[in-house]
Amino acid sequence: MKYPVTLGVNGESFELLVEAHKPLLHVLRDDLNLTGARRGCESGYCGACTVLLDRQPVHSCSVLAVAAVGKEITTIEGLAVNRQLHPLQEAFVADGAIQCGYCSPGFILTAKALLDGEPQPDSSTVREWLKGNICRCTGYAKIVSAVLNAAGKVRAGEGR
Amino acid sequence: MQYVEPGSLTEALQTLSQNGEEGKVLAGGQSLLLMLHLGLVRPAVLVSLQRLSDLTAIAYDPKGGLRLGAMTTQRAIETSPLVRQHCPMLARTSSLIASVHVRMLGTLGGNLCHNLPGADPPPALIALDATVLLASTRGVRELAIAELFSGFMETAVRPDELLTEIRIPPASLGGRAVYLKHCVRSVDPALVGVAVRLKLAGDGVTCADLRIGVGGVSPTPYRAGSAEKILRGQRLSRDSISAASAVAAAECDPITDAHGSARYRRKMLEVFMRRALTGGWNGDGAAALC
Repeated sequence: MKYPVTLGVNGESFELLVEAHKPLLHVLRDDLNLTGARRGCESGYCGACTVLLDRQPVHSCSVLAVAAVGKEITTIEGLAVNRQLHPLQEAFVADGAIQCGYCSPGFILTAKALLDGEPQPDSSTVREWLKGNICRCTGYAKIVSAVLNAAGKVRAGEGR
Repeated sequence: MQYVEPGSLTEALQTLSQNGEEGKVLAGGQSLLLMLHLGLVRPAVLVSLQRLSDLTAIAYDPKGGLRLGAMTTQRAIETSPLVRQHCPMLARTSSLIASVHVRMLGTLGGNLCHNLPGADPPPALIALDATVLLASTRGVRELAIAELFSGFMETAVRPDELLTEIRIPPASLGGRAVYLKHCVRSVDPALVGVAVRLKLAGDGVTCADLRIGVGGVSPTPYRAGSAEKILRGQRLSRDSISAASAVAAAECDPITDAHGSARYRRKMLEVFMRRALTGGWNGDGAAALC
């Protein structure tokens, strides 16, 4: 059965007709063309599909689109403002925390949720939050240091 | 498949009552949606509880103990000042579940009702002597937590019933309690999860009472009664703890899956039970971590 829904994504409102069983991930990718949310394991482990739901990181493969009505959804496409990258995105580039890039949107969004709630996390807190995201290229040292560097920049007022 | 979001508990219970086996409750969706996508469940009606904000309350009073609404997320339990103060073992148990992502949406009630092997809250709540409230249009019944888990991924919840609340009695709060989890990667379910709550007698070495909950090892979580019996009323020592752990390992009914073999689970149950009991004895749960 299809339901008319209004989804709030990256500050915009979208009216759609979605089937009850459709995960938010598929709606974002197939209906809204927001392919920054990646298809990975589709079983709530790898974190490639991470988006923010009311500013908290969730696996969009494990959320029904019909259940996301009235919630604020943020994907990686919503992070840059006026083509200016978010400090986390800049830090990932500067620190070489990206190789193939498949996992990067998920890592960056998870890190954003962390820094929004806790601007000065220590490295073990960063690692704890990033447990739900898997990278198969770089390992995690550069990713953790990029998040810590971005936190420093946000504190210093260089970013948003 | 139909999707409904009842606006009240009464409405939710009526919906469940009307749909019987065809209806399925959706809480945080962190287990159910995976099963749905894999085609393991095909309900005609999905009954979402997300509008029932009454079911997310966490309350404490000295007479009633700790009460958690079934829709309380794992993240809310992990970070709740009330839970951290009165039942730190449960807050810590929640913090060990999967990842932050899963804990943001996954609920305590949903976790219990799926009864997936390796779930962390069941053994913790068994050791805490918790009860659950099961509501339906027929009324409300209170069930001891150990009776909830009736078999492999099966529970005593009837199709028209809704698990609404988890209660931890005052007598279970404030004592020595430990939950230890053994898994390969920290986001995995427990290969072995052992929860111990114990009370020492005035002499500081005799075990006045204890409860042990075990998860991950067998098809369903259970209370390790034989191990408890060996220690209850006895002096705690390395020897008595080892003896109790050996009995628990001998008596378990371990499963084999992708995470570990039955033989490995049995061995690790002995190790982790020894560590959890030692941690409870020393009053230092964290020190018992591997």
